[in-house]
Amino acid sequence: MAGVAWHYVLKFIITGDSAVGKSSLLVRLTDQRFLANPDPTLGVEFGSKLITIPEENKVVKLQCWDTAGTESFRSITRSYYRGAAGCLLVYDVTSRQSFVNARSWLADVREHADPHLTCILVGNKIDLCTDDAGPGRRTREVPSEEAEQWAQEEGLLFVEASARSGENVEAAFERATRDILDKIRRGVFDDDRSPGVKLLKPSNPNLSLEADARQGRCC
Amino acid sequence: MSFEEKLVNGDLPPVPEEVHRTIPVAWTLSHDHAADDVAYNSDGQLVGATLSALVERMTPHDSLVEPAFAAVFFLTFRLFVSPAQLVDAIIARYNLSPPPDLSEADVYIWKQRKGLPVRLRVSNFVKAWLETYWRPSLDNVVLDALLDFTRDALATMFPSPSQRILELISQWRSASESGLSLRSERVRDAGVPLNPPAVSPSEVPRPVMTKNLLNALRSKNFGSVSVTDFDSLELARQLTTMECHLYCAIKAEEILETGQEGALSPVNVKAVSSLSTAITGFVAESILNELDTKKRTALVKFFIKVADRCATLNNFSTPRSILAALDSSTIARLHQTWAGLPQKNKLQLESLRKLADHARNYHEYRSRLRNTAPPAVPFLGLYLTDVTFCREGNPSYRASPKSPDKKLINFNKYHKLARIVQDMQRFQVPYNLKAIPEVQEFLKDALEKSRHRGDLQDLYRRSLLVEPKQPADVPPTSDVRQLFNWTNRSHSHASTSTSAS
Repeated sequence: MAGVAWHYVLKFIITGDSAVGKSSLLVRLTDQRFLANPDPTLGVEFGSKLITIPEENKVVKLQCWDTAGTESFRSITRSYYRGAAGCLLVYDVTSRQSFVNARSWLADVREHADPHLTCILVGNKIDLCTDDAGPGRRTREVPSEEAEQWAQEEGLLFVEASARSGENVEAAFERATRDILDKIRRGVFDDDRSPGVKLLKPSNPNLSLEADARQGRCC
Repeated sequence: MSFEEKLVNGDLPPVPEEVHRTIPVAWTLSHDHAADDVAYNSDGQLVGATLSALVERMTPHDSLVEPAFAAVFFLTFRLFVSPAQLVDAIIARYNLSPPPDLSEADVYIWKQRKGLPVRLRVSNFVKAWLETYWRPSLDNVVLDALLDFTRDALATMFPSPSQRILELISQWRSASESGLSLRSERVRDAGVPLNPPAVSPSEVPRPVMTKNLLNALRSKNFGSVSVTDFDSLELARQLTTMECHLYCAIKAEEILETGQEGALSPVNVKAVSSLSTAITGFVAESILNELDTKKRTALVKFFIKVADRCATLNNFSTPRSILAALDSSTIARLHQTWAGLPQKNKLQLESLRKLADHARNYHEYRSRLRNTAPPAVPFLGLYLTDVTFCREGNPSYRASPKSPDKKLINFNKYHKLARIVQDMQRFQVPYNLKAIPEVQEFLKDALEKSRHRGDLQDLYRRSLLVEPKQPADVPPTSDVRQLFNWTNRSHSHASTSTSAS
């Protein structure tokens, strides 16, 4: 991906119970077969994705950070939150428990992440509760309205998605990204102290929307 | 009769025998699977296959089964086939019959060169499964089927290997009947130290302990012992033996099935992660319990040293837990404490952070681990992440290259999963270190206490108590700026704890 231009690098974290499909969302977003070809030890950064926000005329590189598999190492995963600009808080719409537990994941995020961080609540696996889900069909245990209401109370963005079908996956990241760009415009991130937001020239002390698109170096 | 006459009358002799003979040879050499039952990558590695093609590869007629392939198959088959389906597939393989219309002599050749070797390999397959790779909780359902198959078929062909198989079957059965299945599973795994330490006890490094400390520990007067009374290297050794003990107990399936829906709670993984949480809590509490700033700095310095010594011992687990405490908001905000930290320890801390850095998919850590010889304690979480991504990121089936409508098992995926697990197992080797019972007991007591105490709110309150907020903190130097950032964030958090994003 060398030579691709981007305006901002935003660090995202993806959190929630195990088995809610966090890594599947990331796989779907980045369309990467993580270990299909390269050796995992080669040091290729995965979880990166360039997205374009047309009305802002901005290319944004998302660096997604997934706690998948390490949920039980809670004290260590907490340190991942540090410096994130965005967060996907994921639950499974067919698992009440995963929605209930989202509260405690949110508490962790609140405790350890930047207070300006944008958090989007994502109800995953909606494909499982449609009529054409086939034999794997499952009952929805979390109504959209309830999740949406909770998201509103907590000031979270909200979307329902399906990593399997791809529905709303990119949209979830885009909504969060728009929100972050909006915060940048309003000056919420107006210093270099938010490591989750990087201009393409990291040494630039002033985050400015007028920054030109230059050749970003992609690892 | 002339040749022409014979031709007209249809009296030509049968095709010469030599021609006939080459046919069974060709059969004995060829594979039984169809060309579109398999897929290879450019390195000639099998990346996709039907179940019967995989079973054929596990029971080849013309060679021994490849040990590396067999290990991958036995480790992962439950992810793509049920034990019952596997039994059906191996019985089908056993019942392989010669091609139709062979002469009696050719059938004899076929049996010698193909039928018999395949049956022998099937017998070996069953034995290896029961002996080395059996998982009672999942595999016991096919004990009856295997018993019938062994009695009715294998025993008539191979009486003495079958004897062993029957013994194994009855062992697993009686174990399950007496409710000992869990123990038996552990017995199998007790063989974990594949490479027992080849060093004599005299080469075990001499523990570093003062008499006073040892006496205090012996009298169980833990309250009088401060963690800084310990030698940092010795404490690192003691934590390392503790971590290693838990790490060595991790079973392959706990890693392979991590985070899957309906997976059994992986007890040994949980033991490792709760030790990690307890160490983080213990470190944070020890620092926050100290009201004297100088002594607090000494504690921070001490834990950095312990983490550094652990890393030197190739224990990469403990340093991450210690780092999680030092970088937590409650500790990172203690400016006065950090201000007194010597440059040398700051550098140590930096290199520990580098080792835990996730940049470029943990490049720093992975290359260090790759060049590490066991014993070591890797960070278990990364294996769990790798398995999760490998499982979610790769499809379970792939289209056959020769007939795109045919679905093959994506064996490449299982091969990669097995490689992750095998790398984890590579380090399951005990350390050549002496666990000092008195220290172990002290640590267990301390860690146990931190498990039951001090939630985050409480720790934060204590953090504010030892160093109250100072409104206009300006980071003095660039290298501690990160810590100050953290503080700023914590401050704003405290004031906006109910606001959202």
